[in-house]
Amino acid sequence: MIRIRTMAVALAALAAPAALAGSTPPAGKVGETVQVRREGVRLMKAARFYGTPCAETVAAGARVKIVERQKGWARIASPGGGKCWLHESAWSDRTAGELAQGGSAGSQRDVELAGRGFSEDEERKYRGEKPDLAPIFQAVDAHVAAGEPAPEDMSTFAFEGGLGGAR
Amino acid sequence: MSARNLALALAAASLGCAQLRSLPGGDLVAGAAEKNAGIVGENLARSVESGEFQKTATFTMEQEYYLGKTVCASVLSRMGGDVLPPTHPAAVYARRVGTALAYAAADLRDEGSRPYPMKGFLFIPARSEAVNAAGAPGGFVSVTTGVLRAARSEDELAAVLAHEIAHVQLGHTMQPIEAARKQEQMTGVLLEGTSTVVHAFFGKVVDAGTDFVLDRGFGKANELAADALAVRILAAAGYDPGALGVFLSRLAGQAAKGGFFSRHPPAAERVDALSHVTVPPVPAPGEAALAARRKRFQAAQASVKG
Repeated sequence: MIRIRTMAVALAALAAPAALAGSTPPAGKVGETVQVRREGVRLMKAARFYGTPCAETVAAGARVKIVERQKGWARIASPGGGKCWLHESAWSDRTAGELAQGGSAGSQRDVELAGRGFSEDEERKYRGEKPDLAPIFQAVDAHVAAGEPAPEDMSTFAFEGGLGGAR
Repeated sequence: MSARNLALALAAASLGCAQLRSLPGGDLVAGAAEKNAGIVGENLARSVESGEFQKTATFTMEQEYYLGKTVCASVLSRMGGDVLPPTHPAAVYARRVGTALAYAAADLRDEGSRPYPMKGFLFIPARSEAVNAAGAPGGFVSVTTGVLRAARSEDELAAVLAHEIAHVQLGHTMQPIEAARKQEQMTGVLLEGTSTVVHAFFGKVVDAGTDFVLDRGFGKANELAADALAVRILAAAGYDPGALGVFLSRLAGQAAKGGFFSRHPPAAERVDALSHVTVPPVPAPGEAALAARRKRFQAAQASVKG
């Protein structure tokens, strides 16, 4: 059985695209360029969630250079002419199959393959098989589309209620 | 497994299950592949029950998002399926309270935290008498209107949401799934080429994930850790860090009714553990701020009555 498993893993590994090999995303130090991973991230004029947003935006996939760090925030070179701050949550991510502790290459490969099943395509198939869930999925889609409240909305909400950084 | 069947299993890397079944002995291997996908659910359960998370592996936030979204739909279905639209006053309110907490949580992240969800945290209310809330992978937090009705202040509602945010940020919602990496290699080989098995795997994980977030919980240690982080999140957001303890103490008898309390350690034990959590002092909000919180909380509560 061990030999069979080894063969299977070896053959699977031969078919593994190089892109699946794990690499840690950049930590986001000053001078580094990081890639925005999230949608709907906002640039702020100060290193805080509450306050005034910059007029400029950054889309998922954009690469930005860090010129200053303050705790979880980074001031970026552009857009915004070096005056806008981006929270590190915008670029932090994990690499599929990156083992937290121990494990073998074969096990890592298992996870990479297993992760393939968590995709938009699989969601579509699942929805197709569960027509009774259609209204619920539509409601969830509506909440996803609504997204997080606008910064101005949150600033007002926080200020009125004496919350967090708005004090 | 015989060498012949191994060869068939490997052939599945390039053939769909329907094609595989047409081969001599194909039914046997295709059936085994589907069964192997089923083992994933058993591995999830075993991993959580044994607390064996040492050899976990990671998924990207995009993978977590698509899994979490489907788990969330499944959870909401189990909560009754009457989901409030995002424009409903209670949904708008939950989204604002939850986002204030999510921002505070983001500033409390450390190296062990999961990255911020790909599309941010989403707070989705469902109309139900039950007092229930569940955080799912990808930052999807489902909460019943029963929670809003059972809470007596914005701070108490915030306490429940903060607990679910903590589960997501600490990685508890993905832990059992990542721990399921111990499945046998054959699953991995077959997953590469057979969409049927990939899909079976997805469905199993959705079912298992729903069971965990709604029924089984994430284990005593993780629940207490989520409580402790929730208190820190509340304090960082400017809410009363004691609100979670107050809410738990008042609704301690709810365990028998299921929902939020039934999958957690006893309320008395949680309250006792909370008494050992220290947070920086939170400046008392002014009268105007307290009045604003009270007014908007009551408005949201009124919107789900009847």
